[in-house]
Amino acid sequence: MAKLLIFMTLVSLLPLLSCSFSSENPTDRRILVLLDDFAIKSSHSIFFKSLQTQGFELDFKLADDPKLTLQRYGQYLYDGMILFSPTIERFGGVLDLAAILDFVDSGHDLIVSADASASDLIRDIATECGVEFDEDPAAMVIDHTSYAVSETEGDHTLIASDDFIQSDAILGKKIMEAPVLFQGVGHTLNPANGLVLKVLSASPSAFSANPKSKLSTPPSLTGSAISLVSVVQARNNARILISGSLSLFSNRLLRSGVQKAGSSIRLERSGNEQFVTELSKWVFHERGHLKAVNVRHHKVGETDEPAIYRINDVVEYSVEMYEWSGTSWVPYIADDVQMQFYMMSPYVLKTLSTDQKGHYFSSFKVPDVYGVFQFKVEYNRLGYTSLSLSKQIPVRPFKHNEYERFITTAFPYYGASFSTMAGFFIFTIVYLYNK
Amino acid sequence: MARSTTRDAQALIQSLRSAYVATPTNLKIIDLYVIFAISTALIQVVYMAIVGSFPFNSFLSGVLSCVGTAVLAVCLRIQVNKENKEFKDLPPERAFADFVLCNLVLHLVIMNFIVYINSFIFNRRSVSDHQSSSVSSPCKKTIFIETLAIPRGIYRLSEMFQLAA
Repeated sequence: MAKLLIFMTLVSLLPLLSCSFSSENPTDRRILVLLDDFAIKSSHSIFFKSLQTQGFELDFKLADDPKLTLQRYGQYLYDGMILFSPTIERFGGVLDLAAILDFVDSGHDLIVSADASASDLIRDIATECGVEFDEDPAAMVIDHTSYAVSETEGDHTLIASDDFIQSDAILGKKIMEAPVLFQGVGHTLNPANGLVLKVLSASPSAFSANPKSKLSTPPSLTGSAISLVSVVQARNNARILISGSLSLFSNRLLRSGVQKAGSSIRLERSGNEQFVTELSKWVFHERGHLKAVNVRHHKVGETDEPAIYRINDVVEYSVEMYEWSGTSWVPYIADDVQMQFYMMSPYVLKTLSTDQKGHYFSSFKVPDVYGVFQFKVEYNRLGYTSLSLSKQIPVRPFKHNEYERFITTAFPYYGASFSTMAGFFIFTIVYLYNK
Repeated sequence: MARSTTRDAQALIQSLRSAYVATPTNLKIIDLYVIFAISTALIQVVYMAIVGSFPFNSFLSGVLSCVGTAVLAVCLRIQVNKENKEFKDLPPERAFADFVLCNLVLHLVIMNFIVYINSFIFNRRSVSDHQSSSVSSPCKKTIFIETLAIPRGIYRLSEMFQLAA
């Protein structure tokens, strides 16, 4: 009886082992939330509750908690991090700028939020991710034509913006119903950086300046170059969200109505809740995560994969691509997946045809050049993880007995040499037996 | 003036023809064979001029077989001709045996040259289509046997002409 009890307990613990983060389930599970103080936990409770209902396990800690650690015995304890501590100067415990960058470099996701008077540490984190905040620590984004109308005559730092990035993957299929309310600092992106994207930009009439003092020189950041919320998708597919405003996520803005200056429509709910929910789904890999499996190539007509091809062979290549839907892998359907047959430069570049169920295939003729080639698929689309598949295969020239046996244009020469031989033979007979 | 030249020419041709009739029959047979070989060579040259020199080695081996056997037949005629003082002591059977052996070697060479080097030609053609011309040099290496010195010499010469053309 006791043995049975022990056995039952052990068996019931088995499902817990399969709940950890794995490549089969790319959505993050355990998220560390660092706060300046626990008041933020209650003032942003709607956002945190929506994350928890989606299945994330949030671990709230103060940013200067001396027992902060990200790793134990070489393994990361968390799959994602939310930094809602814009005024922190030094993290507690073993956390510092390098530790956070290592966290991202190892493939984990990050949400960083700055705010008015953000600390240098937060600014440095953002700079390392490719985003430059305004140097003036007291500057905020001010917009006199696109601000949110409220009962009090404010200083137009609460702005309503609806200049979103066009991407179904990042912001979801539903269009944003209402403009998003924002109050905080703006940042710019380095135009040479190809990995950082502006998700929410300011209107062309916005500028970044200190609202309390008079402007003496023209502001350095103006117009649509100011980005309010940006994302970075690193080359290892780690995703970083950088926001200039902590109140973007707060209950106050999530619940308030919005009326853009200049328009008479007042919407009951701002677009903040939809915006931050969809964006956090994307950042934590619930959407827009692709995988490519089952890369196969073979000669047309055969099924097994040879170790070497010959020039002028007809080859068929196929790959299956899946997209993570949040709970399972569904076939990814697109019509722009391309495959290259590459050796220093693509000799063959083909768009793969699809059977609309995630299976992509194409057949082509191996070019007339021999060497070591690669089947390469490079797929980088806005909002999706980048896929870079490559499979090496050598290509040999003809064996000496695989050439055409007889060249048709050379038949007269064959005929001439044989006729000469025949003529020689007849000549010898005639010469010898001539009387 | 003109009439005397034509009459001289006609007299010349007449004397040549009568002299030729006097030659022994076996020499006439050899002459016929030489004419047959040279005409076959000429037909091949005209064909190459029309079609182009694509399997150049096949062209060369065809022409070489005709010209080579014509040359050997001319040597036979010289050695067998009784009026020739130089080869007075050479038995005609020996000359004929030489002729047969040399022809055998010639046709062996031709059979090898006419097909075997196709791989060579194909490699050069296929590789020149793309910019990676460096891969062609390894396959230009020695395929020849040392006894094929004559065709190799001719081939190298003709390669120079082809590259120049």
